[in-house]
Amino acid sequence: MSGISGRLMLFAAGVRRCAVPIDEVVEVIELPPLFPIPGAPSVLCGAINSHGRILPLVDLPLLCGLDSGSAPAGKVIVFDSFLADMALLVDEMHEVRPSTDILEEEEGEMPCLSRQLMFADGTAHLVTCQGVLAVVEKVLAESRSAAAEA
Amino acid sequence: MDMSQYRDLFVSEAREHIRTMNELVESLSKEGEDEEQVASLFRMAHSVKGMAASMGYQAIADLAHKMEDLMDRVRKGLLPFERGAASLLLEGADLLDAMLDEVAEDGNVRSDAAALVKRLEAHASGMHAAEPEPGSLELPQPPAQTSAPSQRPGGRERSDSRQTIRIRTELLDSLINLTGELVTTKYRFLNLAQEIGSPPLEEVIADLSRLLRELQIQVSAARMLPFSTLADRFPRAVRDLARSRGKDVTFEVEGGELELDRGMLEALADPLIHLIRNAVDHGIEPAHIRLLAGKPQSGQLRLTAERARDQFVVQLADDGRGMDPAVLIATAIERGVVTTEEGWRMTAEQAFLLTCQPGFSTAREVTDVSGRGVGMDAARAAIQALGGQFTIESIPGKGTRMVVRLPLTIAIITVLLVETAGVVCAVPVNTVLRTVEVSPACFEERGGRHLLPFEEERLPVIPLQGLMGGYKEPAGPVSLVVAEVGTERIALAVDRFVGQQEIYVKPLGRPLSRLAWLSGGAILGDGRLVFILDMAGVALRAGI
Repeated sequence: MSGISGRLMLFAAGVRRCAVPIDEVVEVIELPPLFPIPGAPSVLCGAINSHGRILPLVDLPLLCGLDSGSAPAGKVIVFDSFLADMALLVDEMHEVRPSTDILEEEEGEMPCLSRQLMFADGTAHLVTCQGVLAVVEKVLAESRSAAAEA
Repeated sequence: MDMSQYRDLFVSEAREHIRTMNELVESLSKEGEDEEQVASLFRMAHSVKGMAASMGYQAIADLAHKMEDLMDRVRKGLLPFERGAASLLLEGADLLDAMLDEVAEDGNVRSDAAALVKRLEAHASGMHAAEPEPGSLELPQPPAQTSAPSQRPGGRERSDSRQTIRIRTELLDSLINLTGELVTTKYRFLNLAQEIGSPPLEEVIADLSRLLRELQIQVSAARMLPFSTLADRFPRAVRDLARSRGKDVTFEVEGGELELDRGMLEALADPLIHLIRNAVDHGIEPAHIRLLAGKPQSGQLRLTAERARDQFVVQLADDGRGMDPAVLIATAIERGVVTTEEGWRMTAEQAFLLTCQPGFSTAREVTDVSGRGVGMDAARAAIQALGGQFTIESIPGKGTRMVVRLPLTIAIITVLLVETAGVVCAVPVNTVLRTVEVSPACFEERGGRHLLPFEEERLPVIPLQGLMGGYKEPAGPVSLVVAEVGTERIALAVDRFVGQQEIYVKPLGRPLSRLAWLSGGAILGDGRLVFILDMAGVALRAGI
């Protein structure tokens, strides 16, 4: 029985199917113009203007080391500003499912894919804003240290 | 009648009265009895009592009533205003504040004032024990009370005949946001007008710019608050801290009437309290050590604010033990914070800033207040996040001065736009000393780094391209921004200067706020996003 409640938005990131709690998302948009972020590591592929807010766009497949799919990344999931000021670049949006559809869940493979969820038609990796934020900030800290040592 | 709609107003007004009460108690404690101030203190307590009673907050009204009673006896000459009364009133003010917090949270008062009410009653009736002072120093006593208050000159009632109105701070924030968006839209119009080449349209936009400028000035003015709004909290904190450490500290504030952006003031509160705590805890010596050093028993701590060009300068100066740069450098080398070679090359100013390195502390003991090397690090980071600069001056045995330089407002600033490798960045003009173009042949080399001869210095050249990734040695003339970073100057090499304009600063949230070389972002008139460079962060990243 899953401990996750509410609804999940399923999407494709690379060749993997992922799910994000819908409560953490304010909107899903087409990829808008991207602007470079000086000195940012490549997992932050650029910045976007989201209703007057400047948000970094996180390349989720690159961040999680997922294999790239054939479909070009073209959708953006914008997180709730109460959680973080960032957005996720993903490949394709699928459907919304209730958490009651989850048959089983297991420990995830990597920090930003915190849980593996089993549905009747396959698995999906749970992606949470906090999980992604923690990994991104770790990458930023590592790149700061690397720059300092260089 | 539903009074909840008036709750916010009640809390806001009551807090103002309590703040004034604190100031008056401090003033009366320091300077002795003054009829007008005693009467004002009585009126403040009376007002809080009345407001609370009308709102149905009886516990608050009862406490304020006892404070009012005590002050009534003082103003009638039946009781002296001495240390015991001052302590009780300050305690009462604190408890009233806590009760107001509870009211603001959910409308219910939970704090119990019964014990304090009894002590206030006892003191007002003259039945109180002398305040115990284990091991602490005597504070100056107020002058003796005369028995004929009617012989004193009558006090003047201060009144402000200007009409004022309360505005929620969220509304002020919203106004500055809208003004900022209008500034961005103005530039969009300007770009369009230039593209289509329409002089009449450009003229209209020029008129719009003038009106917008005026609006910006007025809205910014509405956000300005006197520095005393912040500084008035500190005498109490200094007094309590000094007492807890068994020290005697005289604290003065100058420039309290100068005004600063509200957002800036709020953000300054924590850094300044860190610096003040550090000064009292580690800067100022205990009285017996001061006397042995030939200093006055009471340590001096002075907080001053002044305007300098487009900056607001806050200085905190003490006459304490000061810092020895050699000791700081030796400690830094021992802890691996710097190498021996770096330590040898350090100036005294750079050595003092070592105290802001995370975890760096030469304090012989860690107190509950400071000494963990956390406060100074957090204070400097907060000041830099505001676009400010922080420097320290110190003479061993004589004292220390900490200087904070801030832009006047954080919302709309003027920047120099620069471009490198196709990326446009913004440099706040208040950090720019000069822009120059030089041939690479002018550079000197030292330790694998280019240096720019500038006036009588050799400034490290930081290629902005290094931040973008990939660096090519310049072939032609190099455009440089000479900027001030703390006590140092650097030269930022860019591909070209784009221009100067006002931008509305968009703060960066997590995770971008972790990039120390970026202090904010902005949306230009043509829709492009640019990031504002934090020059201190850029220098740090470049290893300067």
